Amino acid sequence: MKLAITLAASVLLVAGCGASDPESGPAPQPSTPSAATSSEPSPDPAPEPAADAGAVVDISIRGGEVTPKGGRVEVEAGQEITLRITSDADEEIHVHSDPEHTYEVTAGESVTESFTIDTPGQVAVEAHHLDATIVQLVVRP
Amino acid sequence: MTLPSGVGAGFAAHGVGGATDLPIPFIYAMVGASWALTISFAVLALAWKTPRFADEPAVDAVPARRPWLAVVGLVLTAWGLTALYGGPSDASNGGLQALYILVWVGLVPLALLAGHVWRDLSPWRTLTGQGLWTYPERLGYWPAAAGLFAFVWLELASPDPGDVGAVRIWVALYVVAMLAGGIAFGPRWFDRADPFDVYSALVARMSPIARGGRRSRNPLRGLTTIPVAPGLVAVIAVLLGSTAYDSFAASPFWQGKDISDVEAAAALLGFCLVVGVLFVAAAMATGGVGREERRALPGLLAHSLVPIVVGYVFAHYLTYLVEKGQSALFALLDPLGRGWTPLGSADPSYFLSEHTSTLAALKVTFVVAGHVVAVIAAHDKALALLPRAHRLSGQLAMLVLMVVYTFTGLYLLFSV
Repeated sequence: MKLAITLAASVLLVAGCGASDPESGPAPQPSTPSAATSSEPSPDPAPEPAADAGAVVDISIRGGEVTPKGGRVEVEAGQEITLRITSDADEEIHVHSDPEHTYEVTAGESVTESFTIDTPGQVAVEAHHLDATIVQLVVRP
Repeated sequence: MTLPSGVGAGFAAHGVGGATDLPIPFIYAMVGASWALTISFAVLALAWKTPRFADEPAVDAVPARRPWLAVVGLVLTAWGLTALYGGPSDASNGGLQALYILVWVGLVPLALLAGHVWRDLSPWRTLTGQGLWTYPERLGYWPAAAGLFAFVWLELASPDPGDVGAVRIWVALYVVAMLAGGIAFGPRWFDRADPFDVYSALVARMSPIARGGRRSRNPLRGLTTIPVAPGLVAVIAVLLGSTAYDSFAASPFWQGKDISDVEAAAALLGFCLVVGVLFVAAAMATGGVGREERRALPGLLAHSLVPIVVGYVFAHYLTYLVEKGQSALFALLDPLGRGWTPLGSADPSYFLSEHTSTLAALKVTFVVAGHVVAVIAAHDKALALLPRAHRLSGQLAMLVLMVVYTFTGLYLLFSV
């Protein structure tokens, strides 16, 4: 009798806890990329058909702020990933894959760099001098 | 905003840059959570009603340290320190990788599979004597809790965890503290104040191997033999809170903000405090005990959190250990950065990362297995501690808290 009441109470309690999981509020869903993933062909004159073009991430650094910041971009393993970077300051872009890629950007210039990632996982792309994560590439198999 | 830092520094990933795991699929998290919830209440309602594991003799007569392991420990330490201080000053430094990956994460499977070998390996125990004074027991584990927090701060919240200079300073301070404390207080210092030694000792209590391989032991019995002293809950809270913070810090929510170094350190401390305070509150939430007994409950139940720590650390750091660990070994084989490749070129295998479903299933299994062992350990201890009338209701808050910890862990694995 007492056991049954205890159990019923505890199930209710846990159901409540599960619904309002303490850390669940703030973090947005991982599948909501705040950066543009488009299938547009890159501006390079490479005559590739649009279907084969990979993910393109447009990055802009202006007045000490980088956009996008901290979002997720879904890509496939082996897919070509292109970063189009414009910056008003000297910056160093790190791609934390294995092996790492480092791209230098000089103030006022635009840089377009491409690479592929073969191992599934999440790879951070960082603006090194600003010490900020631009995007996490979510590399799916 | 922080100052520009050295080449190869990684803001995101535990001081050693590189890819992190994919989020586990939602359905895996749901299945894991359902199992955890069902088993928890099955234990409460259906399991034994008299304590089974409380009769393990509390004090093991400690066997002597094995000399050959002490020699191995000295050689490995000398090797790691040579790499750290003599090697390159960037992220390719083998000593830095060895500390973050092999020492910090490798310590857990070593203790789980082989017992408290750390005690035999520890070079600081080898180099210091029996001590000049008696260790002040009222300090308990607090020095180890402070040391562990200093380490997780360096790794997760310091301005640049990948900065070899900062790691060199940290390790120098650690070595001085260990040698000075060991000379002053003898072996007791390492049992209570060496962060890595204490961490290994806690995990080793749930190893099936006891007394240096001379005995086997039921992990649930082993857990009850963890010596209770002030600061034990703090040690465990730092371990669990920091691992959760590490997941959380990679979330788009946190990465989308401008976080100062002070705010990052405060957030890390906040995670550890929340874990610890909730545990203390849940352990005390029972009827029928007096004030003194109630104050003693968190310490007496602290051992039951160790399996949750171990399960979550395995889930969180498995690929990090197995895959980055290979790079660390290759870097150690070239301690001075001269391009030595005695075993051929470094070409790590990414087997785990490539098999994403297997990896997700393994991670959920570790978390749920840790949770189940924890719930059983807490149940058994509660039977021994609580007055008869409150045996079930007195466990309820702790059970709910463990479910919350496990759900939060699964949520972080699936969402970040």
